[in-house]
Amino acid sequence: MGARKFGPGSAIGLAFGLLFAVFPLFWMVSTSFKPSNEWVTTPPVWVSENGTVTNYLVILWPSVLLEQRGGLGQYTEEGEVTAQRATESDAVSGAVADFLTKSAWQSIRGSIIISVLSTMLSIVVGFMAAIAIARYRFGGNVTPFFILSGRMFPPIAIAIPFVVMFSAPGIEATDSYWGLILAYAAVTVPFSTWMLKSFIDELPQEIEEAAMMDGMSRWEAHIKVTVPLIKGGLIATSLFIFILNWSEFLFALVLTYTNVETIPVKLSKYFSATSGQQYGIQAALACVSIVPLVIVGFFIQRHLVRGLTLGAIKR
Amino acid sequence: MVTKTANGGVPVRALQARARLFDPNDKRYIGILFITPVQLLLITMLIFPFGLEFFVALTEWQPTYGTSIWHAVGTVFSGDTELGLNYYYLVTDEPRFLEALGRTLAISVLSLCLEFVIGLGLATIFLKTFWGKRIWFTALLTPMMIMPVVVGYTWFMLFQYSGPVNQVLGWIGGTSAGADLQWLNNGVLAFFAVVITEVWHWTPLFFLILLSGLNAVPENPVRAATVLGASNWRIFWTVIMPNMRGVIIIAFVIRGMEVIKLFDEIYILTRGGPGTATETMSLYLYKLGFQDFRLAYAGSAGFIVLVITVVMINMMLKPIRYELLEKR
Amino acid sequence: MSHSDKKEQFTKELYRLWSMHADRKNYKVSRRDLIKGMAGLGLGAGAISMLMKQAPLSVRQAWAADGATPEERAINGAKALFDSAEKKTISIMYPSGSGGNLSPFVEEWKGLTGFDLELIEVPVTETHQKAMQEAVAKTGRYDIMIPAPLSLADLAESGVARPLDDYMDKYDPEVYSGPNQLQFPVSDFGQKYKGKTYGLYCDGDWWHLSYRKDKLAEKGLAPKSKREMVHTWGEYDELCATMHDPDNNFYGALEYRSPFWNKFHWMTRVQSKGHFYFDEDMNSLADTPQGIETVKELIALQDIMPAEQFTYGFTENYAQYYAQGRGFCEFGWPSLWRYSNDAAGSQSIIAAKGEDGEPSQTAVSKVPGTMHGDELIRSCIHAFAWDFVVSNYSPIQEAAYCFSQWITGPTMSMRSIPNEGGYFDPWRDNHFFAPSAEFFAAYPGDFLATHAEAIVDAVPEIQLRGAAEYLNALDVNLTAAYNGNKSPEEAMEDTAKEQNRITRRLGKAEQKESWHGLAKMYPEPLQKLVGVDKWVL
Repeated sequence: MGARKFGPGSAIGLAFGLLFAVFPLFWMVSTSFKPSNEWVTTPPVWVSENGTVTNYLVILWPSVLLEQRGGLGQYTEEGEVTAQRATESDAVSGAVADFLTKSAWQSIRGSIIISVLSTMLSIVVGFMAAIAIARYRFGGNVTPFFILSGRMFPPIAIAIPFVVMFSAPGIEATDSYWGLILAYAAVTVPFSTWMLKSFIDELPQEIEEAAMMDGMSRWEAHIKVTVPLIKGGLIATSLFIFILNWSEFLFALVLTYTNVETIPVKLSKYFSATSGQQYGIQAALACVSIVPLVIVGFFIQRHLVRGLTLGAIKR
Repeated sequence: MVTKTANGGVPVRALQARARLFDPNDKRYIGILFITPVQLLLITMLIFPFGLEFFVALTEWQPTYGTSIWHAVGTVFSGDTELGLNYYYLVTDEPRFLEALGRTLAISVLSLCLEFVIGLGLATIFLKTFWGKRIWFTALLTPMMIMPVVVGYTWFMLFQYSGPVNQVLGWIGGTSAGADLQWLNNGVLAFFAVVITEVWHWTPLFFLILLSGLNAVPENPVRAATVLGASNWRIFWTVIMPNMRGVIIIAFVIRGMEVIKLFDEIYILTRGGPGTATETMSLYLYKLGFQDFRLAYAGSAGFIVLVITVVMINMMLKPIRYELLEKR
Repeated sequence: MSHSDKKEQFTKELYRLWSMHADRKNYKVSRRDLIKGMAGLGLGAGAISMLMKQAPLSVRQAWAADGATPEERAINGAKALFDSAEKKTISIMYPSGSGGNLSPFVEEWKGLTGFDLELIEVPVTETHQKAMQEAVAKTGRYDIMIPAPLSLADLAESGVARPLDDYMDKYDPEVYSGPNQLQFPVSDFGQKYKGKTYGLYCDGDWWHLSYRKDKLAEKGLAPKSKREMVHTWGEYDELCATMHDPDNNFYGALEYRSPFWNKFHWMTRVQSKGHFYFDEDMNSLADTPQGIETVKELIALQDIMPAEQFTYGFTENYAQYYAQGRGFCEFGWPSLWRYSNDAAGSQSIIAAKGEDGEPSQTAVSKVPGTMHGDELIRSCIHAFAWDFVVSNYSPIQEAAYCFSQWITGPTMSMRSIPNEGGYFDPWRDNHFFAPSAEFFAAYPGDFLATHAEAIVDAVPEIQLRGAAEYLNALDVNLTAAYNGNKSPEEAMEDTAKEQNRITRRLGKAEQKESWHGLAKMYPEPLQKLVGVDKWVL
């Protein structure tokens, strides 16, 4: 259909599109290798000539940097300096030295735990709901759209009652993993339900019926027959939900104190009252954090359309 | 269908067990059993909090009044205070609220249209065959995978006054000094900065959806039209577009649902500033609730938003309800 | 005169000055006199610290009488509480980036008292949010919170901040009196709300003006005095215009015009004109002729400022322009001075030292003021700063208080402030008049003396209930005026309208009461000028 020839017009259009898509990514990666004095300059530095991995060390192995400079510059009671103060060759200025006392591993671990567990919860619950809707037409048209409405309003509207509810005596879910996991599952379950429903819809019902004829109970039929048959769909859905959970910021910001930390929140902590935004460190953590997303996204490319359109578009 | 099988779809074992009072395999119960977890989750995590918010929003409570929230909920029932005043103030005395609503709508419409146009353009290019198609395809999709917070920080760097955006614009304008544009600090420009960021982030989705739509357009009518000598432009409007109607509506609805929630990127780019130039609904609610801590007031604003969005989106969903619910 | 003679004379002189103002009845005036006296004696902090640097350690700690320092009282208190404590860990919410002031002392405190410390980092911009969230949630997760004084009113009203007066009587942190005290007015508006103390102050954040004395000398000009670049705002505007040299990429002024930061300039300039935020009846004074005139003056200055000022905040501004030698002067917090004199840490190119080891390129000045008759009145904005606030929902409030007193004590704060990875700044008298060698190294030159002198001119932000809202109204409209989106008249009218609306909503009578309380914590000369003493509720 249309002109199939790839003319110069198309080439220019594609080039612009690619440039637009890739340039910010290039800038982020490039900034993550810049030393601190090149983060904000006039004119901006495109690719640093003094490339450094310091930013990555700050987030992943700050102890290396601490050892290099012999600890933080502090004073003992006798007034002696315990460590070398910042020197010319020192990549980390004294003002940001505080960030060396804590790596970003806690937030990476937190992000993984929360994303994985809430994805699992969301998938299990969503799968059951999808069966009920697709196979038993439960609730007619109302229930599916009721579930979907969980995705329709701004999360900030519900964050306020969450703060109160989570801290109610006896619940105490603030700053706990399970509180955040439940919250994440609640806002992603509409996606998992609808997406899995679309996969189940594609599966002929006769297969399950045949299994039931063979003496399987309904539960067995759904678990032992349906699940393996939509395996691909399950994986795609899981990865898709994982992306959503991994990216979530607002709930993590308002519902955590210290036990739990996620990467998006950690990003906003690389900010100090005296030295401002730590662009390079933030860029480094950003690069680390998008690696799983890009990999996952690559694997489910084929299913992305379906996931993002709630299963409305199949290919 | 289940009902068409000989015994109504109930396996033999289930028939034998029918005498029992409750059988988890009974077709009458199994739907309920399967739907229960999701209902429980939604009731505890959505219905209950909104119920709580509903009652608090009827009062004028805020923590600096020195009373607890449960006390505030109590006053709703004891009749100690006048109820529902917040809603009155929001509509009559709070231009920021209505402005934020309008602004959210403006950002949504503008960025969706841009995303649609750019996405459609790129999708038509990808109908053709050319070298490295697969690589370029993946590259184009990448922005979509990036988490919104990172998108925000990245564009925050790009939009700095001395940042690369101004530098490149300066080159285009023929100077080496960089363009004199205060992207994040001029009301109008900041608005566009947000739109550009949003367009960058989500055009890939439109591209993806529209590409799959274009691929699904039947070949024959297009060929016929070509043979009959119709121009490309005419073919596009009279043959291809009508076939794409469903896909386009879906794309707009799905993205519309997400874009009105826009928060993370703006929070990092401008915090709704300068002034209130980029203050969307979510930002406004955040500021009310978590900066000024006028929780009841924010709650009532949240409720209005909730009703508007749910009603609006359900209306938008109407034309594609069929696609969503039924197998195709 | 030998070193020990000098020291003895100096100590004697100081004690004489202290006894002079020991009379509490008119202490405000006498403290001011004291500072003046100190300056008159020529005993600037620089000189004192030179003295003290050579003194052995025992002398340096001599301010704290044997066995009776606030630190020791705090340690003894915490020790006594340890066995019966419900919780053995004190959790502290602190703003990101300031860990260097706290984390090095965790082990020491544990060794001394048994209490463990848990440091909970929150983004700098979220401290108010997290503390207020605790007011709603009441989890008791934080025993100590470190918000800014600006949050005190909200925290106190919502019941999350515990009044500390009883503990202060019991343990005496020596902040209101003694040789290590925090001077009025910061001691009051930095820690009190409606007459009660809610926070222990820990970060001396009132403004100074840092300028290039070498460039000034190049032009054949000289500052008005050792600690004053100019006297009045008019002179400041003029001098900046004179120093402006765009051809050489050198800007006359580096003021903040970006959102959030810009309001401090208006606040510091307008109040020296004897013009508070509100009048006696709590009506906003933003749209009065002086208020609008001040905005116009600030807009006029934009001609001699780089265009980046509209986006650069404090740190970018200083790192990109001032520390790179591209601007004449900049207002700012003590860290500005500290880091612009730290050539290594922050790549500052204006940190040259002369032969005497003093900064040779930069000098520090008090902020300009306004002449009222013969009297020069300054209003030096006190913005940010941090307070140790004990949570009402903590099960170990007294122990939490003890830690706060320990870490903010005269000796401990002296040790923690110069640490790397922190940004608390000097605030106690002993920081200024008896700095340790490393303390002096962190704040070289004449800074400590100037900062100590400037404290009597410090004026608060709008520290009332709903502070964030009042300031936001101002911030949003000033930004619009600076960007040309609104005329100054329009912007300030909108500010006043919005602020009055906030007052109305929060209850005018109550807000008026706390505003009167705040007005009484202004510097004496300003109070007199405005006539606060005649205000009636």
